Amino acid sequence: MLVYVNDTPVTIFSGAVAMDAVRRYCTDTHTPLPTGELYDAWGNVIAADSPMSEQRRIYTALLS
Amino acid sequence: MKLPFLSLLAALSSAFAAQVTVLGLNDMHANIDALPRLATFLRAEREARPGVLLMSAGDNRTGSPYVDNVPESGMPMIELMNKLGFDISTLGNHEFDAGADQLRDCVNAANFPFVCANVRTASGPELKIAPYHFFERDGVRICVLGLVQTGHNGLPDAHPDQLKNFRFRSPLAAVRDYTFLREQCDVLILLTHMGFEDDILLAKCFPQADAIIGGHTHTRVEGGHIENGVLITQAENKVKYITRLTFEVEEGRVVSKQAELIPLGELPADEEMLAAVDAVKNMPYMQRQLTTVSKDITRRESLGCMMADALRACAGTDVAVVNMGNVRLEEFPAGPFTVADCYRLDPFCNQTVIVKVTGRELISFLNLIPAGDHHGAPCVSGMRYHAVKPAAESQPMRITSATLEDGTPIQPDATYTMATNSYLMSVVSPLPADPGRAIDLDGARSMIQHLDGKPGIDYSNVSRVDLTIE
Repeated sequence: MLVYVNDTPVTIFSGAVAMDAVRRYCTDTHTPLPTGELYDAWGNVIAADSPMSEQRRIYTALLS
Repeated sequence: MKLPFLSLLAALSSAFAAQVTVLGLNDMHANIDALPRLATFLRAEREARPGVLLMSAGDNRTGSPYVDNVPESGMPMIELMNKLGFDISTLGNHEFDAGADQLRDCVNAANFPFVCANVRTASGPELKIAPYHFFERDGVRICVLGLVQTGHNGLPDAHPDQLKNFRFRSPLAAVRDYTFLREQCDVLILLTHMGFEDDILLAKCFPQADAIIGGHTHTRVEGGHIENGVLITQAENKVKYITRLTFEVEEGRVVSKQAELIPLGELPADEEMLAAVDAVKNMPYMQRQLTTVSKDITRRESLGCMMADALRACAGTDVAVVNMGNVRLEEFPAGPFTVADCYRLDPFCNQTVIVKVTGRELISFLNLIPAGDHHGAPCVSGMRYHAVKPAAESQPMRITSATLEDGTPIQPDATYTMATNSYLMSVVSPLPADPGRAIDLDGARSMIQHLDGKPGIDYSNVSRVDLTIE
């Protein structure tokens, strides 16, 4: 399924959770794994095991 | 004279306003260690606010072997929820994880109703699940309507085999049949397990609701979110937080509403609930012997082969791949092998992912694992391989020959099914073209299923990797 991490498209297996998507994003973009909170598009904190769904957008830092 | 009269009316009206307090939890995921703290909170809350309603937005189970892997799967959590005095729950996608019979047993054993408006039984015994339920508190009529998420396949995120006795409708379509509830109550609450993003859509298409107490996305909604006039809440997961919703009701309608997210982590444990949780954890299940290891297993790779065999057998694939970093014991002595040993060997509970791969993709996937996992050559089932591996972990391995277990060479253009874990599907790059699909199975559970009842196992000399270090 296609999801977005920091507005970057990431293809990940269906049934993935937020941390799977972030790990995939970091592998694809050669960036270190973040240690802080994860956020949804409304700025709410989400748990690392938040289930992902098609087209969902999550962020590794709070949008300003 | 008019203004003072109106002020008096307002004051009188306020004096007659009723207050309704609701506590919302979601996605507890069988985190039973947090329940003694929750009990402490509830005791104080019920003293301060008599009549408070306690609601769960689903996924009560799935997350602890003490709840999920016992013969009556899910039942320990229902018993603890009964003890905590839950008033109502909706179904989450994980309530279906153990199938229709277990769900029916759990629903029947609960001292509280389950509500869900977009599921019905298609075959087998009827589930006692109504679309909605009414409560009355201080003359205020409260209606709670339940909804569960459905994905792109029209089903909740659970193994399709466990869902075949049920029929589901899209929650956003189903809710439209219940606009009449607005006229039958003073406070209308949607108790949903759809995820925060879909709760936003729900609020847009069903403004009749006063509030949505949501779950599924494990979202920490601080102070509630107002969308289209509907108050939306969610309290992350695993009983880290609870949401207190307060409604002021006058003349049959909500005149004010607010939500507060309350952390539970620092509270002392309630002794009575602690004893109840300890009783669940001391059940003999974890020490149950599954099989006997007939000879000492002295190599980590052999244990990895055993894990890969279990994964392949349970997933029903051609091959299975387990990274060495996933194998957490170095050796295992001859003797009994218990349920607890499965969790010692694989404590991660990573999801199992099934992927369709070509032979070329399979070899590439295996070659790239040491660079992603940093623990050496991966363990396999259903195949064996010879590889040259650079001493530096960051360099990819190079498989020089690979065969299926019957000795047939793996063909580059043939298609195979592979079971592996969600961690590898996140760190290996590039991946096979098929992104794969997760199934409701982790490594420990696959071993429990696969080894249970086997008269004896011998992995003492099992090796499927012939490795040359250069």
